[in-house]
Amino acid sequence: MWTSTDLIWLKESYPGLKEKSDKELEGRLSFRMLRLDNQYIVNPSLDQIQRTSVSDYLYFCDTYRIRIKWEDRNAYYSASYETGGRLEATAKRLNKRTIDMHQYPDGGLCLASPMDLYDAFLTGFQLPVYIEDFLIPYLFAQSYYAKKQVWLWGDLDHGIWGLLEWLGRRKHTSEFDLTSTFHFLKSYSKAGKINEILYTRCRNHKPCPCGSGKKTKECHPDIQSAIARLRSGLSSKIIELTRD
Amino acid sequence: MNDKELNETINKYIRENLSPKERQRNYITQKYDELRGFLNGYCFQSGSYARFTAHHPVHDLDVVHPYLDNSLQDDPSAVIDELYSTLREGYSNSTITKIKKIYKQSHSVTVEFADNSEDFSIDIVPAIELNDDRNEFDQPLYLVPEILRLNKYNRQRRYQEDADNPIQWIKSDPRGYIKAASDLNESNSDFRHTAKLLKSWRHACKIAYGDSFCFKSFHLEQIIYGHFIANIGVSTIDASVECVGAISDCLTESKYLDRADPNRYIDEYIGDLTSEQRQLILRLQAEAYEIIRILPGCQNEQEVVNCMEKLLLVSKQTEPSFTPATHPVTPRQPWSY
Repeated sequence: MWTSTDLIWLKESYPGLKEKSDKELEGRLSFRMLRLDNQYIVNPSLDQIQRTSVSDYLYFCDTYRIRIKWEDRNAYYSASYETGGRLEATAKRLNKRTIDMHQYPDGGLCLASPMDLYDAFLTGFQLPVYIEDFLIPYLFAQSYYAKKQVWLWGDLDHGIWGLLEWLGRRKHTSEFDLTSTFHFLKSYSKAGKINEILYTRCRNHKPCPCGSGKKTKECHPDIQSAIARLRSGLSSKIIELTRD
Repeated sequence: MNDKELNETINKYIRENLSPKERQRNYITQKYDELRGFLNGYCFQSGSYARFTAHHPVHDLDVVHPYLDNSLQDDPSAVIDELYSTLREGYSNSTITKIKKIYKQSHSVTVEFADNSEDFSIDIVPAIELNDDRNEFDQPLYLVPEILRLNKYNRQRRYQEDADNPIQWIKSDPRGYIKAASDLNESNSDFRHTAKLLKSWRHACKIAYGDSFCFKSFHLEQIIYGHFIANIGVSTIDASVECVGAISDCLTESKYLDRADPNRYIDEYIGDLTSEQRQLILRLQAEAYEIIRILPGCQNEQEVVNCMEKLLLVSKQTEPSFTPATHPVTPRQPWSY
């Protein structure tokens, strides 16, 4: 959970977001975020703003009403909700489902893959990292999506196919990436499903294992490499465990 | 302090410090009534004062003087000449008003007054009423002389020097803008509070940077109007933060259609801004945003007053007024289940 140092930082950095209880923060999150020279910057300096020219930058100053909540004592990061109804209004306007706006069924914001969040907070939760590395970029992407109907830096498919996409899109994979992906695949799939995926040959020109009927390369082009990485990187003994 | 109390405190500050004072409103009424007499009643107020979005101190009043004679259409200069003569005669015989000067601009006649402690002028725009061309409120549209994209000094010079390049008539809907703003004010008075606050900030920028600061007041008002229309029931506190934030996104392409002409935008001028002019607006906007986003976190009236005073104290400086905790990030792709 957040510390008193976190709350001092919050008051100075994002004064519209206030402590409602020891497990809940609520209010307005006002931020500035800039994309310049392919770099993303939260709270850019005046120098950075002055370097922009009309054609090569993206700069939003935006405000969302947010609730950040610890729902589970054992969680390693908190849950966030957008309470001003903006995401709901965008979904309605664009005829999208909540899940397509990257929200969980309860309205929680799905800021990133669970592997990214697990990696970031494995050694302990830090409110500044949560807000500036995850929440603000997510809201920035939502603002852009509302305007252009494109996810600025791409998005992951829902459920286990998105987890595999995450692994397949990584330039380099560590053992941590493999084990955490495997862990979350097990958490989010039905018994036996993970084995079915890992032991079925996945080829780009063959039907996608997600069952869409499309070829894998036209449906989930990144999962072939993810499956190959899991099979070669994790010992068969670990994979075998999932049979139980 | 809850949101409602905070919003009321902000509105109170705006009413007491940024709304036109009663003494000034009376002065403007007196000057307008006298002008109406010179124009035989054929005029109406337009601009921010008529839309209740003008802030203290009011430096000018826009007045439209409709002509019913369509034969004048071909030559706006002749109309302006005639209007100038009428007003000159009227003010020279006035016993209640002392004027500083009266002069023609490319699209209007301006009267500057000498009997007020603040600089005050009335801009009278001749217009031809188009009875067959009406807005959605069933009010007539008008033809007015084109307002050139020049500052006041150059508009005056343009009128005097460039006789070979005659001024054109363009369609305008002053009554539509007034009616739309009035209707919005009736449903949510925080519109005019927000407009007064943010236009006061813009005015402070203009005082500090003069013609280098090229962000137009009417453009800002339309950003605020659009925000209130899109967010029914929004409060001053939220709209102020969100509209200052929106400015940065309103400098890349024209967004606000002219009510009178769907082929024209009221913010077309942003395409002509130089890189330096655009960056100055972005810089002052960022400074304002860093201040105004503190508002929702204020705990008492004194903190609100401090925040407002800081916002409106724009000074020309070389050093940045804030040092944000700049933070480069590696964005993560969103997921869900």
